[in-house]
Amino acid sequence: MNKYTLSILSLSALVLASCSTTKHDEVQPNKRELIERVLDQSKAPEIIPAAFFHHFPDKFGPKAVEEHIAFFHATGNDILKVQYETLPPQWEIKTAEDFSKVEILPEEYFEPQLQVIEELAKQLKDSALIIPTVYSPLLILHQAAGKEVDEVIKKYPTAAEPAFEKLAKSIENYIRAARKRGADGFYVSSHGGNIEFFGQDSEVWTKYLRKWDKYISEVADSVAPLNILHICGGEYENLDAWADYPGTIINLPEFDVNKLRHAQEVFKRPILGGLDHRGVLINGTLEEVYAQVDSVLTKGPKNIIIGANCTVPDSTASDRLHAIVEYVHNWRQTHK
Amino acid sequence: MKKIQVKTIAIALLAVAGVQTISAQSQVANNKRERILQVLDQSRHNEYVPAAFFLHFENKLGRKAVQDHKDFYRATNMDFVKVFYEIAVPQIDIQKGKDWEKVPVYGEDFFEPQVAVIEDLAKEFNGEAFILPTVYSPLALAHQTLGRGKDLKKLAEQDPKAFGQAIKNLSLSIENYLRAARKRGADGFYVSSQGGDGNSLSPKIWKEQVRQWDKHVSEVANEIGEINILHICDYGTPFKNAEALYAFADYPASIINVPLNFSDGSTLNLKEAQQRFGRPIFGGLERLGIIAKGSVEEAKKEVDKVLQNASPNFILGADCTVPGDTDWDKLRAVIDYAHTWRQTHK
Repeated sequence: MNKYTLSILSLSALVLASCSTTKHDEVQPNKRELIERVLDQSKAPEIIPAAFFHHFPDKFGPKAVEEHIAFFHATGNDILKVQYETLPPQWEIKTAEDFSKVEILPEEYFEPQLQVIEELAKQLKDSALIIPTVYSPLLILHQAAGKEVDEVIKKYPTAAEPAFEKLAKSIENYIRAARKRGADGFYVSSHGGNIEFFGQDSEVWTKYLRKWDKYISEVADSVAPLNILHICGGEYENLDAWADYPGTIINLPEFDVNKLRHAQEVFKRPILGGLDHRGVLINGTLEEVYAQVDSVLTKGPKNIIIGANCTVPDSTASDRLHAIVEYVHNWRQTHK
Repeated sequence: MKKIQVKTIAIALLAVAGVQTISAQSQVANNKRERILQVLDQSRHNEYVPAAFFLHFENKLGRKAVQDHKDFYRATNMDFVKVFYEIAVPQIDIQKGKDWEKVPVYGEDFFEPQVAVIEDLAKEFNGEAFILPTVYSPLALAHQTLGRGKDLKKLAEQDPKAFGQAIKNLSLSIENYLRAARKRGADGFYVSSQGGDGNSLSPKIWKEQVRQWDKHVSEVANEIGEINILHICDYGTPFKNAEALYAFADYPASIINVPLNFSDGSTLNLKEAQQRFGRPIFGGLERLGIIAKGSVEEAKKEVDKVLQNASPNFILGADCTVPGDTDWDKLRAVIDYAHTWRQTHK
């Protein structure tokens, strides 16, 4: 019996075990509900959810599915986030005219990615929300043409805009297909780099790029019940400016408790985060991580899913993350 | 093991476990529990409008009551299981204000027949829909204590302190009921608040003797329940205006069930109500209005009006219990109509 079969059997056994329990106060709600209960901002949830993410060695196919499932079970994560591993075609963009090389990618382009989503949804949709990652138009352009394309964008923003639009429409194709194949919602990465290069108040961002970046969140919002807005790392002047983006839950490039509490007030939505993906979460002892969790949960936003501000290193031990997830789950009962 | 066999086993086991199958194409969440939770996402309006109506059943307690609840839930396709509260505290001979001192705290055992109904319904529906038992207010229980034909307002004025103690004891009794019900399968509660309308009690008695113990029930529900609905009841004694209603904004609850008409002739703006309470709104239809008396077509037209003006986060229902003889098929038609309304009326 291979690992793949084992994981299905263990899932089925878990489902059976949970259904055989009759004392309702002893039943742990399923992970879908754990996340959805955070949406009730009139109260703090009794069981605080947690989730951490990293990339896997295999990008597509049964092995990628297996690795997602193994990580989900090993960590006890409350969200099944599907990593985005699709690469765009390579386009050389040195001049204004070169932006016309960018094409709209059809649904079929994303097929290997969609298959991973579909298989994970078939296997785990009853246990957890299936939330594929979505990259931003700028990030995909970086993948396609290298980060040096930023210089060309800055020089010829009007020529770049149709390329942003085509990439946004490509991502839309992916989102709509993924939803049909079982995604419950999306982890939408906004911007994705170099905001400091353009400047948050620059025309490049405000006039040409922002609307296509936001468009992704709008598509996700129109097709799916639960989306997470992830504002990618960078030196932002003012994160509050993202408050008009749709998204059910907000994940920021911040881990300061006061800033996170401020964010829940400004965005009026629950927060995912609290821990620095390069800090004690990775380098510290578990006790140090627990102390940080204590600080976030006592001083931070009332409605929070504990996680990091971005993906953690792939080498992070799953049992370490499992210990943290468990600590978070039990936090309310152990801190009365 | 081949992939196809693996899938078959997984599907078979899931079916045995009674887990609802999910259509990948569905635009909304899985089951009725999640559809209610989705309403709590106030970053946008809910596409699927859950709906629920309530009426008292012929059978109050025991197996037949359980069956009535099941039949009604299935027949109407409503989105949560509200369990009726049908147990009355004993009458006590209260002739003068001081007699309020006789009112005791009732323990969990007193509520056993009611809790047994909740337990049976939770066994049937847990995992499919939220089990939300109704909770009466301390004032409602004071009325039960007194019995019909007596002037509670006057007897409260005669000895406010003794009355306040009675309200406290009744509130603590309700707390016992809530804790027992939660242990036996309730997910949360439909908590009725009564007495703050400015008419059924003098504002002074309400403020000094009743409000904190009325609110205490919501606080207990909030502490132990996963999701609670605050029902601000104005049965027969409407609030003066919307501002008087918004005085309840400090009561905890996930969702607010609102009265619609005020004694000064004004009506509630549902959008404003969500803003002022900061929470989704449940209601919109008048309990004795078209939903009770009209045809299916008339009721649907009324739903159109309500949903055109509804708050972004909204569950359709009435401002209180509808008459017991309301046609179940009509309720079903209205509930089904509401579910897809926002998708079909863009």
